[in-house]
Amino acid sequence: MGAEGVAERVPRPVRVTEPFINLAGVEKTYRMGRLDYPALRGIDLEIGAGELIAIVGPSGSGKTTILNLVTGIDRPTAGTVTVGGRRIDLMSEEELAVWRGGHVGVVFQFFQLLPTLSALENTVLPLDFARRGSKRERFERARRNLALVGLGDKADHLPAELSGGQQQRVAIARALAAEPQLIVGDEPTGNLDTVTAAEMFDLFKRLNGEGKTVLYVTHDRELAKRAHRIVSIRDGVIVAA
Amino acid sequence: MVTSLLRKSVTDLSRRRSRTFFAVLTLALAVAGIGLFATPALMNRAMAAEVAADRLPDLTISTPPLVLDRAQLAALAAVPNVRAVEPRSSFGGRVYVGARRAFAQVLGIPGFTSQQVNVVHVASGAAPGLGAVLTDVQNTRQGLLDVRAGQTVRIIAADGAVRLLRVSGEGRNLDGGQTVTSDGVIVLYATPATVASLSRTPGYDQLFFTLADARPAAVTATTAAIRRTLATVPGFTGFTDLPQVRAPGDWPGKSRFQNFTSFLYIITLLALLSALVLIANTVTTLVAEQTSEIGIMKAVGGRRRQIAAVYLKTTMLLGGLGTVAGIVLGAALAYLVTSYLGTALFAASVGFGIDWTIVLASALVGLLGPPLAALPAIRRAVRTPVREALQATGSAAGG
Repeated sequence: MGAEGVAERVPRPVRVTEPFINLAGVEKTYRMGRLDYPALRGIDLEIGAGELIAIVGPSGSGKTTILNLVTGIDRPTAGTVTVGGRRIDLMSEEELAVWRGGHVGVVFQFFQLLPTLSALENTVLPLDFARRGSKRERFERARRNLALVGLGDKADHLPAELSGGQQQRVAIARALAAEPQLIVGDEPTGNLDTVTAAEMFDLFKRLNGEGKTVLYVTHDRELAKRAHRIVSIRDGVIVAA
Repeated sequence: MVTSLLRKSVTDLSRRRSRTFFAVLTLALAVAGIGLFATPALMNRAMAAEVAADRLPDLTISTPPLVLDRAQLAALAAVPNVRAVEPRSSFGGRVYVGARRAFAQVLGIPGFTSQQVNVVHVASGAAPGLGAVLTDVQNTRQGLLDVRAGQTVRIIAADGAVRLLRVSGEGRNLDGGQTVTSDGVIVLYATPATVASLSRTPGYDQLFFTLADARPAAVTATTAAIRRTLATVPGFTGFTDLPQVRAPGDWPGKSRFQNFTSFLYIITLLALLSALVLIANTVTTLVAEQTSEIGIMKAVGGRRRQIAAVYLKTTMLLGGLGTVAGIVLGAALAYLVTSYLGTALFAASVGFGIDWTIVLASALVGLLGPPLAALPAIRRAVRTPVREALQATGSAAGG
């Protein structure tokens, strides 16, 4: 993808006074046997609250690694990662789990729903982990989120009984469970057909319109164009932001 | 309304029925194996009833053949500490089984309807009269002598002549049955007169006593008193064997049965050990298969303790199901084994019974085993970093 070319066409990001996400001098090296594989080579990135950001780049360029670092799924080898004013690179695994449960909604390419739980049970899962409100309140909120993504009538269906698009909607409803400020999507439309992908993106746009910061990785040039800002990465280095 | 976490613990089993079925079956078999340990207790219980029914003697005295009249028997019964006395005569010889001759023992019972001690029960047919015998039920079961009421047995008498004795039916007695199964000797029951006609020596050579006090000191004193009483009987020269004292709770063939159950225990322990390894393997696989799901749960805010609890509950549910099935299966298995051994070794009917100690042990192993076996795998799985766990299905591994 010609990321630089895309970067020229993006609208100006929302003006923010302080970055909501700040990656400073971040390096990430994976050890594969005896070899070290540098995924990120000292990147600096600031993202303001309420921005809609697309991260693009070829396969193996480090896109997902950035998302993993922002969500605390992975840790940097060097540098700092600050989200919402908190240094998440300094948090323990347990602290990160609790933090993620309350502040981040993650949507994966392959949906990552628990296959033995219904759509409603998958959606209520983060709330049960966080023990937010009474059980009744948790289920009510999960039902509202399912209705929000247009699946109010599929609450009792198992993931296997839903289409790919519907599964991704459940994953989004789950990501919204704790009403997080940050929604992160790792190629959230990568496994969907064009029409469903567009619908899914509309949902992201809507959430962004409600004030949530949305950060997503995509290979789809058209979907990337609809972001406020495109971060283009190649060989572990940001080439345009 | 249950939480999604508890639902996951349940649905991991209910929505993967085939795997759950086999995991529960494995557990049930392991728990059922423990049920076999109930066999001795159940057999003891059954044999206690048999001992009571047979009124087994506390003390057995062997003498030269003595012709005892009613008064002499009454004198023996009147010995302090003696509750009841029963005399018996015996003849050891050979019986024709087809063309082959086999060792046989013919026991003379004074009165089949008035036995006080070491009772021979008429299992089928009728009590024998002069020239007739009852065949011990174990003769047929052990394949030594297969004769029915109305048929005859050919026995070689002490004088070398072959006598034909009519079979009047089948008899059952713990002592006699043990002689058949342990020594391979055919046992027949007859009247003392029939025995005397075979041995050419009238008189009783065994005296069975039940005692009020079977403690060693009391038995010694009673034995001495019996010796003094017998000293007045013509022909008594002393005991021909050491007095046999039956310990409380003892029954004929008990030590043989214990040897057998020791062997059974070894097999059961090996089976139990294999089953425990199988359980550990099953739950380890179950948890390992869910690494990616653990990653997902961590990604949406699950803490280690919470995720571990999900899988511990799953294994506890598995354990619960396996324990219930295993205890039922184990009780049935213990009953079947005890019943088979009781019939085969002692011709004793064993009723269904439950050994609650074994049920408790089974429940402990069944309920605690699976979670304990799963614990290392669960600990390993929940400690896997989120990214690695998610990579189990390819997520978070992209560019």
